[in-house]
Amino acid sequence: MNERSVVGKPLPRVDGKAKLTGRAKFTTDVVLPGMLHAKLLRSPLPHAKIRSIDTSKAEKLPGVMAVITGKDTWGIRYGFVDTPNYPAEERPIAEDKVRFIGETVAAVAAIDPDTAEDALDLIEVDYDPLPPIFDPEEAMKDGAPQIHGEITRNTSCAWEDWGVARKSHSYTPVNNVAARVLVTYGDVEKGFAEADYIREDRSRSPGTSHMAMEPHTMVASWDPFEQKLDVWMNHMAWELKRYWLHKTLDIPLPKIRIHKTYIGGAFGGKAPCFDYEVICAFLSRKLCKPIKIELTREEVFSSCRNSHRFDISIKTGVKKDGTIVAQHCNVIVDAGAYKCSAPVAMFLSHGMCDCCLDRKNVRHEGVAVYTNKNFNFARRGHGAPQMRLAADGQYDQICEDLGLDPVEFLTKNLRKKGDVIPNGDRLDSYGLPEAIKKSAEAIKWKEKRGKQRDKNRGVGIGINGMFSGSGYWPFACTAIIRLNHDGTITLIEGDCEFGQGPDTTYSQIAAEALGLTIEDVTLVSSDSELCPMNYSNFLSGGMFVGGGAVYNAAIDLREKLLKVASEVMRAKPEDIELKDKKAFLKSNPKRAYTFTEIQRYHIQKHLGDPLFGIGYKKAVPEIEFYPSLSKGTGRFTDAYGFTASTAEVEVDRETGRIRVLKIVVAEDSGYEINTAVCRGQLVSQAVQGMSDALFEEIMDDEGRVLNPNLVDYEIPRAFDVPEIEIIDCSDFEPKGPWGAKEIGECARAAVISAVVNAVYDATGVRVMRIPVTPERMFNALKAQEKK
Amino acid sequence: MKDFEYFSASSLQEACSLISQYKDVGKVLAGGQSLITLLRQKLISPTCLIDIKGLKELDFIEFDKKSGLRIGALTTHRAIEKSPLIQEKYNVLSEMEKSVASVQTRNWGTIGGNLCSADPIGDPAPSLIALGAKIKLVSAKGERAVALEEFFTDYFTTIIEPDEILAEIQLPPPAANTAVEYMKFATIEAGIKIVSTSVAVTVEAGSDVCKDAKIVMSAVAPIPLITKKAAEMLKGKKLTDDLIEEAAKMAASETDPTTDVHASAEYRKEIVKVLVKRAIKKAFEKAKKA
Repeated sequence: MNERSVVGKPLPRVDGKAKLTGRAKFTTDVVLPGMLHAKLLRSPLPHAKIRSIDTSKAEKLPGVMAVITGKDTWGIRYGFVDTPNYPAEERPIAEDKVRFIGETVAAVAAIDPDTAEDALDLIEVDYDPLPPIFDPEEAMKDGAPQIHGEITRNTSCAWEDWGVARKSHSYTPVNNVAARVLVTYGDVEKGFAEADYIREDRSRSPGTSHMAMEPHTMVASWDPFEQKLDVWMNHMAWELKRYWLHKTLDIPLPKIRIHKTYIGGAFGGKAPCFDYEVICAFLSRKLCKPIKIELTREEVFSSCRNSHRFDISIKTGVKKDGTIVAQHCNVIVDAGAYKCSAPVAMFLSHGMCDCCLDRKNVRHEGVAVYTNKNFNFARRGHGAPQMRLAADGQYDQICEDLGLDPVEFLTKNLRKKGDVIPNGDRLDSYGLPEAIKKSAEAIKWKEKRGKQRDKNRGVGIGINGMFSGSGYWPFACTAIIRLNHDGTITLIEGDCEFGQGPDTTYSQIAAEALGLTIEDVTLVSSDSELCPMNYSNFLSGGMFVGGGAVYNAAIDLREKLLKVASEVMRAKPEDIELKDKKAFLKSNPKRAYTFTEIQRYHIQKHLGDPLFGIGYKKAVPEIEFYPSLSKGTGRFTDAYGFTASTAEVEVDRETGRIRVLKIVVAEDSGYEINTAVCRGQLVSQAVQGMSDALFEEIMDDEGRVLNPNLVDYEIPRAFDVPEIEIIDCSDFEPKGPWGAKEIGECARAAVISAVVNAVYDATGVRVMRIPVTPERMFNALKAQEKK
Repeated sequence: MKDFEYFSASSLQEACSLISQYKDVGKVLAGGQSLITLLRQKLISPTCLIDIKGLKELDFIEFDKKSGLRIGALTTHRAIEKSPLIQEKYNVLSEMEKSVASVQTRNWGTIGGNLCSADPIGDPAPSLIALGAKIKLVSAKGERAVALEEFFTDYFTTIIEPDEILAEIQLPPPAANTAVEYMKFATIEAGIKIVSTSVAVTVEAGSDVCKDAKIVMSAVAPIPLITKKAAEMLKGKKLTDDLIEEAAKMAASETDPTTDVHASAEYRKEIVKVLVKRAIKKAFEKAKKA
């Protein structure tokens, strides 16, 4: 394998033509004979007991086929975090109590969506309102309304099913605390005692919507004769969804088939189990009819998972020269009505951030708190953007206080390539130093920093690190490659295509190893019945784990091919090269045999066809049977991606409006398999990061979302996007496929900090509550004038 | 969305007769960029829709030196934005249209539909009022002309009778020594306006003295708001920076904005001061050259 000819190139997407011409099949395109439509009745109250539900009028409406309530699904539990310490407490339909506005209290299946919706109006629910609580800090106080009683063990949890000896146990949350985390290393007291300067700051990042273009949709079809469920749905790993459908509805795993559809964006928001998914399958089985549920954008805002609101207090001690000696972070996560991934987000706000800088002595405390609001899940970074804003904003201010340069400050505190960080992860690739240097150069840091306030312009910098998949059990993938009789291959792997490009990049990975072109690859992907194990497309594990499995399968097939070729050609395997569906001698390319000939020889010799490639990979090699989210022990990941971002902004001091002039994203994602796909990921993160910094916030009043639509929840459109410069600072990752690692989540956090810090440079005013809307900026500027 | 009966009118006459027949239960569909949202959110549930979008006779832009400009009610925002005639003679309308929602919406939404939906954050009304627009309302019984500034009565409410259709908008010929300037303020480009204003300034030829002024704003009151006191302050005076700033403050005091997810009432008033100041200055500079 000499020069690379398929990877490292901006090849067109293999799904591009289908998507451009509208032929690509999304879940909404699935229409089955006799299909019914279901709609969900949502709670109008944030906290109430359900006295009774009268569905009789709805059932009598012509066209209504079934009405179900919590009585039908009583006792079913699921949750993203479902561990012995934290048994699941989510339920498909509220039982005796509702905990947020938008919680499902009933579902109707009817001949069309309008009839189902009309029937919702006929369902009479008798509520007994309870006092609600919305603010996490208030919710933790003694005497606050308690959102959950005892959370009881329901069925075995995923961890038990995968061999953990401990049984899960019931528990009752105290003062609405859903989970706590405490990670420490070094001696924080001693560190602060040695510091020349200590600062404490607070920041807040709001709940936001993932804003996937496709609202959540599912079609389920129960075959009563086969006792089998066919599913088309929005997901980020069908293994997870299939497992939850199996557990919640007690259907054997092989009797659930999740078919491939394209998914219109996810950004983390489609990975967990949702109420509508269990309901859709439940109704299909009950009626023996296909059921479609398509949520509206309003439902996505009010009833699907959003990102977590974080309130962070951060205290950092530094030496005069800017060397960090200690840090104490206190993180409050607004979990919402159910904990979902809140325990993970709290932990990740440490886990993802620890790879960037050497802070020496660290104490990271977190608490996730139940409130009577819609609940939350990962959004592109899952805790990292919130934490990085707190840290990078504070570093920027420390530099201002001590007369240091932020770029030099970050450079001084960097870890080193090859370092083993406190949890045991080793930084085999670490492109962050170069990314910081190049992102600063590209924004003309030295010429501009601190020198443009008279023009109301400023520059800022932010950084981030991100896992390439994690120790989440059983985070692993397998891939199979069949050598076809014409010398092409069929690649069979499970990853789903929600825009991030695995169909294309995985095809490139396999083609490169076998001397083929991307056109020689036929892909079978994202189908639970056809594909081997797949748990990779969240926590940015797609490329490293899923792509890694494909790489290993391709290398497996390559080695088998070379071995047979060496027999046929009577040459050493290392003297043979594969190219254009042929094996040939490096020294004499004319001496060549086609893959077809080699395969024919081998089938005859072995009475069959053993030329199959099989590859597998786990995100973290160490098996942690007792993972502790709450202590943050054990390995996190096997490779980190890194970003440094700089931004230049201009502030209208009269109105507070901020205009971003330029964003630079310098990224180490390892070797770039498809440079166009990578570029797309980074541009989209730059836009999302800018949008987080300046625009996006789910606003609520007494638990009701005030802006659940795209008119009132504003996101940038094409003409709001500034100049974006992408710089490839890849550091070859020895454990990654062709040297690749994560790309999809890292940059967003760095961009947020860069923009917020640039606003400070432009104005001398620091706003640590995002989004920095014109009004927040205006008020901060007025407060500055008064001083 | 509730079910409704759908009629597609093939002439203005047919539309008028349909609407007089269904006036109590029907709604006119003239593009639907606002109406469909209201239907989907179940804020209104008419039992019949009368679609007039296809009426070519209400889709025109015509100019006459003496009588001025006539815009058919079913002219799309995009057509107004792109019209060379409007760009040359009423450029503020073209500039204003550029910030009406997105291109997709402008391609389908109509000027008449926009005015009749009477959303107080709408962009076209303030600019048209600043230009002295009248509108023609027709019904099976006849027609009448009304000054646009008298058209709006409250949030989403106008003086239009249930059996009337807005047929056209009429603008006087461009006045001498006059300029009209449009300015908006939103968090994102083409986002929901926090405030927008259209300011018309007429100067005494060859001087810095303001002969006439009109300041109209959106998103700061239930209807497009004409801040008369502020405009009065400018008339007959030499326009200095101090005077302009005082007038802008007066304009802010005349507004009655509300707080919503986009901005607080207090902040809107602050933005009015800035925007009106900037718009007067710009209109003044242009008027001197006009």
